[in-house]
Amino acid sequence: MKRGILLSVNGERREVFIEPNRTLLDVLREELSLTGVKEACGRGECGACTVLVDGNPVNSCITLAVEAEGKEIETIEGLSNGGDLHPLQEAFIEHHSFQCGFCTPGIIMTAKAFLDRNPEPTEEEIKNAVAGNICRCTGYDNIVDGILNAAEEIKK
Amino acid sequence: MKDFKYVKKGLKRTDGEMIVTGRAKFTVDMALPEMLFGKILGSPYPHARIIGINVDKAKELEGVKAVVTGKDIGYRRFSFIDTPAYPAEQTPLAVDRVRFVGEGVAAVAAVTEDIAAKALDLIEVEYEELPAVFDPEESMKDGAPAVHDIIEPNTTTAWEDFGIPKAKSRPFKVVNNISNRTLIEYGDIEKGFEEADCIREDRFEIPSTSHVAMEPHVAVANYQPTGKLDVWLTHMGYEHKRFWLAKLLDIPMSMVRVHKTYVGGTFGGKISIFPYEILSAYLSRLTARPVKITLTRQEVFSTCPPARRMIVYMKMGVNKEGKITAYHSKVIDDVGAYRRSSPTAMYLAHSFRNPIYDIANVRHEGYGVYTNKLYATAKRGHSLQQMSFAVESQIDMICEELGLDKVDMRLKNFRKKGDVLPNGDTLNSYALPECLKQAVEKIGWKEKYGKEKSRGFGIGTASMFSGAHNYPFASGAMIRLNHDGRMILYTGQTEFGIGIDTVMAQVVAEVLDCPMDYVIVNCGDSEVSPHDVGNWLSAGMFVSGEAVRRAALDLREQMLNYAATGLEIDVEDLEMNDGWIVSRSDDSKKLSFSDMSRYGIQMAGGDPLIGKGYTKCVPEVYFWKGKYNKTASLSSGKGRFTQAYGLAAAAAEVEVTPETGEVKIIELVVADDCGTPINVKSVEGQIMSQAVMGIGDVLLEEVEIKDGIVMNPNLLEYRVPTANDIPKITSIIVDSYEPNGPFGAKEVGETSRAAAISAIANAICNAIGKRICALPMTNDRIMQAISDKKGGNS
Amino acid sequence: MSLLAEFEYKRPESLDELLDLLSDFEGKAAILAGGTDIIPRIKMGLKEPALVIDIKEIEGLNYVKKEGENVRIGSITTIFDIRNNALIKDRYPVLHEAACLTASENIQLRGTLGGNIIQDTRCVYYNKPKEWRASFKACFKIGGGTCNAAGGAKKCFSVYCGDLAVALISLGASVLIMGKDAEREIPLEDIFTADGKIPFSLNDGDFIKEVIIPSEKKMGGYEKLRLRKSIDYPVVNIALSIDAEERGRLAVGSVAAKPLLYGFSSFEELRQLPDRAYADASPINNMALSPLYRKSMVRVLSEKLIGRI
Repeated sequence: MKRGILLSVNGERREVFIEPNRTLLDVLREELSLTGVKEACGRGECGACTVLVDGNPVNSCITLAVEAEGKEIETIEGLSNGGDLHPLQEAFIEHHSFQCGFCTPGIIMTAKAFLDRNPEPTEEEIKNAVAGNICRCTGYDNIVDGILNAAEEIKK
Repeated sequence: MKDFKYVKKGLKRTDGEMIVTGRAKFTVDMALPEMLFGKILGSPYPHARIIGINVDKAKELEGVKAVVTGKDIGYRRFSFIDTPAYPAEQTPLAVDRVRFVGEGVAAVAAVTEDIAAKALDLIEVEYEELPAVFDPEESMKDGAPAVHDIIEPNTTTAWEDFGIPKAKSRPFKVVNNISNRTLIEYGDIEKGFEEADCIREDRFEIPSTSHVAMEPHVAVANYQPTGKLDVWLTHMGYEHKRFWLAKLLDIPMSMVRVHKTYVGGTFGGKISIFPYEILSAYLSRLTARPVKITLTRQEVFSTCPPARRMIVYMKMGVNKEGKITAYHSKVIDDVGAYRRSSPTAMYLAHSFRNPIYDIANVRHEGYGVYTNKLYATAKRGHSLQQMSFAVESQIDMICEELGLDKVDMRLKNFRKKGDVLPNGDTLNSYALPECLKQAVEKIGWKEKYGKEKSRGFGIGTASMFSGAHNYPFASGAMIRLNHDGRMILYTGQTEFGIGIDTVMAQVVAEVLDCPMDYVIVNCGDSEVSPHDVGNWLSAGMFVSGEAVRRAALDLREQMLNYAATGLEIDVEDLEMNDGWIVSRSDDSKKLSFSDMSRYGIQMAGGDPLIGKGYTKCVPEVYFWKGKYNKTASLSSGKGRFTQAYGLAAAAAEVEVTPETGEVKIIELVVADDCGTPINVKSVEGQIMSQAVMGIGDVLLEEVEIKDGIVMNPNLLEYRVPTANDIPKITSIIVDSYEPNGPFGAKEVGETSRAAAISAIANAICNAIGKRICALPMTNDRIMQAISDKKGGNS
Repeated sequence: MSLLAEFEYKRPESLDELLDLLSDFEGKAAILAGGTDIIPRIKMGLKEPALVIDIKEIEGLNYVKKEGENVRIGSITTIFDIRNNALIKDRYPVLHEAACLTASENIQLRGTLGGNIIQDTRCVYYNKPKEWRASFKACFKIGGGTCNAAGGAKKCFSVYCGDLAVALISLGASVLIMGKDAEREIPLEDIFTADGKIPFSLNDGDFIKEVIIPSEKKMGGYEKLRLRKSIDYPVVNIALSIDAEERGRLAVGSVAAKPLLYGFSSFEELRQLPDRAYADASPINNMALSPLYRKSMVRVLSEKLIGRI
């Protein structure tokens, strides 16, 4: 049965009227038009749909929207502050950390949560943190570079 | 050569902000008012006759707006290749017979995806199962089940529509399931083998791998009341798409508009046209509403073509000095249910490897063979990686037999810059020897080869066209100067991750010497852009980039001429500098680009200043009627292919754990001769991307098909490398300067993968002292080879 | 694009409320914690619950604590928290290593101990969407009468591929199971039935509240063979724990519906185990890599692990 739920997305209160079987991914994309959240596998196998729920990365394709009720949801759309890009976004541009860009929002959100819990990471730790996110274009090297440099920028 | 200002730099992507903010709209993100959602019902059988389809219950479901079957649409055939010799044979939905598991039999449009999915459950299909054939070599035998009988072509084939009436379309009678043949010969192969001191004959098997573009296959179609069809597709070039949509829906091509979208990766997998694209358009016309069809990952794996599966019989003869005296390849391309690009692939299987080794006596046979499996297509190299694996493996085997140095032997056989290939192509740039030398030096070949147990070293080579001779390999570009002095570039190139928008802006900025942000790139909109090849066969920079450069030159000349009149000085005295036109002798005399735009309109009769440029890949090949038809033959390999070849060599060091067969890549070096790298970072990105894809090809990836069913149709069971699987990789750009390319550039996107595959594969075999003639080299296969006392050599 | 069947959703805040719901829905309820196993199964039509019970808000299920002779881990403790727990790292290297090697870091952050333990058994013919399975007859695990992986077989050959349970079994862990009317503590290995069709012996109303590990420090380690160094389930996984008196357990996962378990009371006995495990393992062709290879890796990895410890 449909129910109204209140989500907090990128700091805004958003009310949606949905069936409980809708995934968070689906609701963010279809109901709230936050299409920066991407679906590539639908089964939690690739990380493209990663968003943050209370600061932790989740695969939104295998998370129910109702699970996120009352929690803080962050998507790529909420990462930049107005026109100012987040250091991760800046670094991803600077270091060619994307090619087609389809997996990029998920990887940036994974990296955001990772740097929040580990502000001074090693290269190996970065690789391990993003190893649940599949990128078919870059070969990952530039992604690791981008995250390393963003970490340094954030420290400043 | 003068120093470049914008070219040969690692500039940032101009669309970076769009990507990293999530604001870039991909086709999956498209939503239109009143949009319906389509789903396609697939066959559960590999080969069956459709006795009847009952769609009544599905039609009655609330929210269902249309249900169509193959009978409703009829025999409208399409393919990648559609010539009088090889007429198209696939239909948007199967009409009376299904030929692979997953082939569409009915399609639904409904108000939600959920309802569409439920409607599929309500469609009743009665099948009569037919004997099926899965093994291509069994399929070629007398008495094997026939996948096709007689293929009745459309009224005209695509080639006739393109204006090449070599022959009239005619029915194609399939014999022994052979869909297409290629035979390319030169020299005297018997004599060549007589001159050899070592002759090897080996069989190599290369499975399908999947492209795994992260954006799944998706189409949005909006058929307008005016008869116009607007589509948003995830693709790599719109000419094929709009041609086929127009032809299959009987609407003028100019009434089909392929809109620009961001494209989430392609790697060859989104080339030409697909049933879901045609069906979205068909359903949109039927319902008079926009229709979106998004395939699930399972549907992408099970119904969209992966890379070609090949069996390669290689026979090579080499004399004691290490010179290859004869080469005979026989390739069986397991095309699956539809031949798609197999005729091209079977000729590319020869021609992509042709510029590498100078071999006087060659025979190449290629056979496309139908089976009851998912059809196949191009993937990043289209036959190059399959052939490179076979040839480079066998060369290593021969070197081991004759005791030759693997590096020296290859260097001895390489062609040379300036060589004219048997088909007439000239190697105007050729730095393959340099590539190999640099790769082996970086890996420490001389010092380390054969020194440590369980360590192995391998090398591989590859080459690739920079676009091809055949239709539609030409490109046009326009640049319009605006009042603020900035320019809009119109090109038919499609950005799918390669950074084409950025490099095209670099080309324009370089020619016109203006800041990068003076160039706004409008790419990939079929209604706005001039004719363009699309980004495949690595034509993007070499062909379309040259068209853009010429358009910029044209605009530059117009601007300089007006400036000379306006400033009343000689045009020779003028130069462009950072967005200004300045007198060389008196820098107080200058005009801004913005001034030029206004000058053109006010003083020169309203001239808005539009630069125009165009080029063909191979200028002397005409794809036209009668005696002008000089197109190369896919089946005999005669005639010009391309104007420039990209080349690459790779070297790998690996360690194999003898107890488990686990492979650890210690280092991988890929050296790529791509001519001038227009954007150094993008080029490095292309090389790195291919190196990692190659690692997946050798160690992990195979679309496993059992009894016609794709067994691993998801990203858990079809494994692509993760960030934790990446070893130390070095990319080396070897700039050979290609005289025919824009600023000396040529192909870069497809060569390195094959070089990396052969290097890693050879290194593994070197490490274990046994030869594995199939990919992927999974742990179990490696252990099998290690324990196999008889097989292989070391 | 992948659609879930319809169900109701409840988010109890107490254990009692949870147990009431479980008993009211008599097997038609599914417990949701991290969701990394259950949601894909629902999406594929492998499970069609009438009710999904989200247990993440239940107080007092997320902990690692030492209590008397035992260390107790609450069932919704995440795999990531287990990996980073100093007590666990210090006392149970086998569990720490297993947590480090489970799936990917993001999944570790989401997935929970309880969910990881009672993840369903797997088979290449089973873990697929409904449309894909239309090419096959209904197998034992779906409720039919055939095994698509082994033609003619009389039982289900699906394989248990969990990481943490194998490590925990080697540690001699037990689980505290809450039912409607009673709670009981049983050895972890006893919740496995060895039947792929219904791999766990839990009743419909049962809920694993916590895992209890004897607090004694154990030497040990975990070997996981997987094709990629992230995301993947094990091809074969081996866990070994040894106490100060050379007694311990070796557990082998991913070769059958229940982990193989071997006790030993000396190094001498331990050294015999790789051969025994090899003889006992009989994988069939229903996972990645050939069964022959997987079988031989049982011995190779056991020996490797013993050598390492």
